[in-house]
Amino acid sequence: MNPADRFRSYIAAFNASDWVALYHFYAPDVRLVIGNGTELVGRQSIVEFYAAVKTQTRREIRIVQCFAQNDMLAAELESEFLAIKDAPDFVVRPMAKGDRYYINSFALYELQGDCYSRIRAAVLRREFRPFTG
Amino acid sequence: MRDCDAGSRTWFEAYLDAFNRGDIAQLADYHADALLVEGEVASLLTRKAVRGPSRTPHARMELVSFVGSAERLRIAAEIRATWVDGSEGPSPLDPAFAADDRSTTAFVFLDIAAGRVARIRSAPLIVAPSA
Repeated sequence: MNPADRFRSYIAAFNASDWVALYHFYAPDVRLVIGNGTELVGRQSIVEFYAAVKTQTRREIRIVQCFAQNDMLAAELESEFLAIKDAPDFVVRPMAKGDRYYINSFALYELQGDCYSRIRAAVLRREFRPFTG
Repeated sequence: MRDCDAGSRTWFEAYLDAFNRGDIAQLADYHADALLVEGEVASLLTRKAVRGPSRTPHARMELVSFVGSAERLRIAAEIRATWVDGSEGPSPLDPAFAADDRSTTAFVFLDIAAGRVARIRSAPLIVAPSA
């Protein structure tokens, strides 16, 4: 599988909340920096972080574009969080049930074999979309 | 730099080099007429060609990482922008600008059409201090 196809499978696993599959996309000592600068180290930490986020929100990631060269893959992503319950401690900002938070981001993935060893994301655009009924 | 090199790492390095040397004519050659720009580092990169050197903040751009698409129509780059001592006015690189080392890092994505940069967008890379 080429890096772009593998990346599509990775995002599909994320969107399906398939944590077991997601775990195996990461190198054991993977480092992930999300858009707000928080760094997570190790695949178990990452999976637990995402699983916790998905207890508060429904999140769908859409790949706008992705391409790879040598041991790196670049991606532009669109992501929307929908709060499925009140989440005053949500990682991005406090959210009330029904609120949405949109993020357009750039990310670089460094590959170690077939696994992601370093992932960093930077936010191009973000938009809070409060629930309007 | 020839148009057939457009989208290559060498082509992009020459673009940054033109910026760092203040070579406005060469820099302008890289840009499509209807260039779309979004983001602080992207604005800084293109401003020199659009407004001229006297109104341009002085920064140096260093290529850290480069990913080019196979068809050479897209580039993703990690760029470190360093504010040069003696520059006038406040840094345009906030909020990611780090006062201590006067630099910021951004991911920059470019779309290339007909051998020119048609769209350039940047997003600041934020790394929170370790707990």
